[in-house]
Amino acid sequence: MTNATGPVVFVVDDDLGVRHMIARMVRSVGLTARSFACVSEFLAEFDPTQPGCLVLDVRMPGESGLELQGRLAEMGVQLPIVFITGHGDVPMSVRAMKGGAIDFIEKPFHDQILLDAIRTGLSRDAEQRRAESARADARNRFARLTPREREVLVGVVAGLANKQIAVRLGTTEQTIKLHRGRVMTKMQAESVPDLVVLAQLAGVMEKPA
Amino acid sequence: MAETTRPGEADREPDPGRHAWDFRAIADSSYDLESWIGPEGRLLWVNPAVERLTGYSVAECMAMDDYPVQLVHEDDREHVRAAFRGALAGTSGNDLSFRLRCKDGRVRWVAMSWQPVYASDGQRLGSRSSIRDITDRKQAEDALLDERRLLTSIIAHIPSGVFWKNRDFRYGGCNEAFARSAGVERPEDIVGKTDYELAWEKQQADYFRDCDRRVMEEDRALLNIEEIERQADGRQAILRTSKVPLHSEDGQVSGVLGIDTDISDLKQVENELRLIRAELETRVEERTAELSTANQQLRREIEDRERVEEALRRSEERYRLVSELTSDYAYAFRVEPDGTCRAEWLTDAFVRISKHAPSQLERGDWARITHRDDVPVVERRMRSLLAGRSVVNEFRIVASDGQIRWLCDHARPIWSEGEGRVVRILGAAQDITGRKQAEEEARNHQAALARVNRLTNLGELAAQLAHELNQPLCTMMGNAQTAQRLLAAPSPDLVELRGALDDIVTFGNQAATVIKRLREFLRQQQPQPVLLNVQRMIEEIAGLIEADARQHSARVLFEVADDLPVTRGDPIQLQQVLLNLVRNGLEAMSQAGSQVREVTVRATYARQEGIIIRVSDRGAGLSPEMSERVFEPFFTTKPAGLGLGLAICRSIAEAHGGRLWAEPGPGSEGTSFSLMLPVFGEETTA
Repeated sequence: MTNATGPVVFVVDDDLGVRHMIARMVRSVGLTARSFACVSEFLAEFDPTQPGCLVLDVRMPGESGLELQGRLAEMGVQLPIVFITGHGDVPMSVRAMKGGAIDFIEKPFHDQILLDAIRTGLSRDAEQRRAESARADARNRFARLTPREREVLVGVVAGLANKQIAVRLGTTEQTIKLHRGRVMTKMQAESVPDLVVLAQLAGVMEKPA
Repeated sequence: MAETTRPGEADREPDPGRHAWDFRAIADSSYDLESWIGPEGRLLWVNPAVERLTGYSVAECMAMDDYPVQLVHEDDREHVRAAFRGALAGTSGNDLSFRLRCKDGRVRWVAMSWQPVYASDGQRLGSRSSIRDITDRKQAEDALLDERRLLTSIIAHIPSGVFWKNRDFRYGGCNEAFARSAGVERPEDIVGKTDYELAWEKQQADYFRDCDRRVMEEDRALLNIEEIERQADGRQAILRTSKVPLHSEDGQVSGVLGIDTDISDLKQVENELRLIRAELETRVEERTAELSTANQQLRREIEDRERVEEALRRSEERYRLVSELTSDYAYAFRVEPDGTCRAEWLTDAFVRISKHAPSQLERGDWARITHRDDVPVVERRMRSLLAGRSVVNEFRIVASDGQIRWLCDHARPIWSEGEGRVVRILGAAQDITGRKQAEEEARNHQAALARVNRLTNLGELAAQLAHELNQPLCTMMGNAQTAQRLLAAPSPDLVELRGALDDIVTFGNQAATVIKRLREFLRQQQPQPVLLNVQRMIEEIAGLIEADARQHSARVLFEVADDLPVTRGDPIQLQQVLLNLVRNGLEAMSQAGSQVREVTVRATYARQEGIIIRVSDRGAGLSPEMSERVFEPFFTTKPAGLGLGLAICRSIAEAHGGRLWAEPGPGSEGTSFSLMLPVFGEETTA
């Protein structure tokens, strides 16, 4: 599927009328919708980099909505899901909500309830993608450091003074100063706290408990 | 006992006589028993303490030949005597302990010291001795000794290894058991060694050292550490060890005391026990499974047997019933040229069955005793016989006591070629009342079964319908809401709007199709028309509705005219209609909170209209326009209703050629639902 400029609401429902209706409802509030008749059709065109959210019928011929939820979780995809169902039972909704679903809506539904759930899903997706891109950014910057610069970074974020780092790495304080300057530049960190945050995002450092 | 070289007190005093009084005063008041024995062994002087200690007075002692041996406990006399001999020979001695036998027989422990006494000129004046009561000390010592012996014995004999080390981790001692495991010959050999000089591997020794350090540094016991240790004999043993800190008198940790127990055997036993238990459980499970299989088999067998017995019992009963009720009778009639009959003979069984006198049939006039409804059958029979055809008929006769009996009659005409007509009729009849009853029972049974089936089907149908209608409903609602939203925009997107409206129409039609399918389904449920006794059908409803009526605190009244004709219809479908109407009435009254809660079921017959069954409630009633709408599918006033009940009821009524309608109840109170059933021609073929 081609990357649209904005987020896309994916609608997967085997009932033609319902899936067109939801797509139309989504379009009526200015969002982009794409609809699919079954899970495999959706997966065939699925692009994890496309922001959006998923409106999913629980029970469908072939793979069910709950199965797709499980499969996406296995793939590490965090696309938010709004479930709709014609005959929901409690265990099913519990399973869906435990799997991280945004909502579990019974047909027929009021349009505002579905649209609210979709908006919640989209903002959660945007939030997740922002966080992920910050992490990727930090990782990229860290990847540009030389091995020695990485050692210095670890020392700095551990709160050591230049002199201590020098002793530890068996070099002079002056050299450490130079490395440290390069680390700050390459990581685009303004200050040591900045650097600590970037190191956490890059996964170099455990988050403090 | 060393030879004394130091002269005594008297030795430094050249003249004892001068200060004798002073010395005597001091000596007399001494707490210990002081005595002076001359060189020849006689007691020269003893202080009064002797009486406190021994019970013998000074005077008594002075009178003794053998002082102080005479005061000594029999068992100790020998060595005390020996010491005395030494003392007389000029030796001195210290702390010779022995027992005294007091005057009252009690025994006291004492310690004696003695020195020779010299005059200033060096002449030996004998020996002085001092005897001190040490009974208390002795007792304490004994107790201590006993305790020590006990402890030593415990340590030596317990099956655990016991050891102690000092702060430098060097062994201070151990017992035999530990020595064996450590690979030293005797416990003493371990003293001063560290764990690194013993049988264990370095890693083990490191671990022991570590534990010892922890115990001593933290001043805390380590209890029940389980470890695997290689013993001096190479065996891997599982040990449970506890270590406690030892303290010096000032409370400082001075070392560590350890005790280890070889629990290898225990562990093995534990393991075996666990295995045994597991196996036991497996066996129990197996046995339980076997037992339950056996149980099931038994249950099946019992059920089979019960079924067989039941069948047997029923067939026996039926046989008994049949044999009681069935008795054939035979007859022969002569036919006169004018077509009238005259009985030639008639078996006795006729009387028994019909309870009529034989004369009743003398003229072959069956119609006289035949059930009103079956008269046409009998007349047809006669016509056939006279026309020369054999007949088999089933019809009812009315016995003289009013009982109705079913007969199965086989009759054969005897044709006379000469006369060109039937001259005789021979026949036999069988009482089949029992069979007929059994048939009816079976029919009732099947009807009940069919009712259950059909109710189940209706339930399933409703669930499926709910699903099938939910999708188009959802689509229509969603599209309608979207259309509203689109219209709210300043310049509505007409393409989308048209799409939404088109879909509403399309899926509205789809829903209509579903409903059409439902009606077809109901039409397919072809009524099974049978002769229908409306009165009996209504009576059956009374039993079925009782529970519902109680639940709604209401009464259901039945007013059934007794001139209702027999008609044709499916009693189960029609009962469903009536039950539905009565239940609706009950619910309507509950909903309206009616004071008087009565549903009346009134059945009447009018030649033009047919049978009309009217179900009236005393609920809130229906407005005139509602009176028609209630029959539309999916129209409901009940919170949980599907709105199909009355639609289905009307379909059933129409399938019977009848009608179902609603109108205000009598006196404009509540609602009346009327079911009209047409009466079909009195076709009473049996």
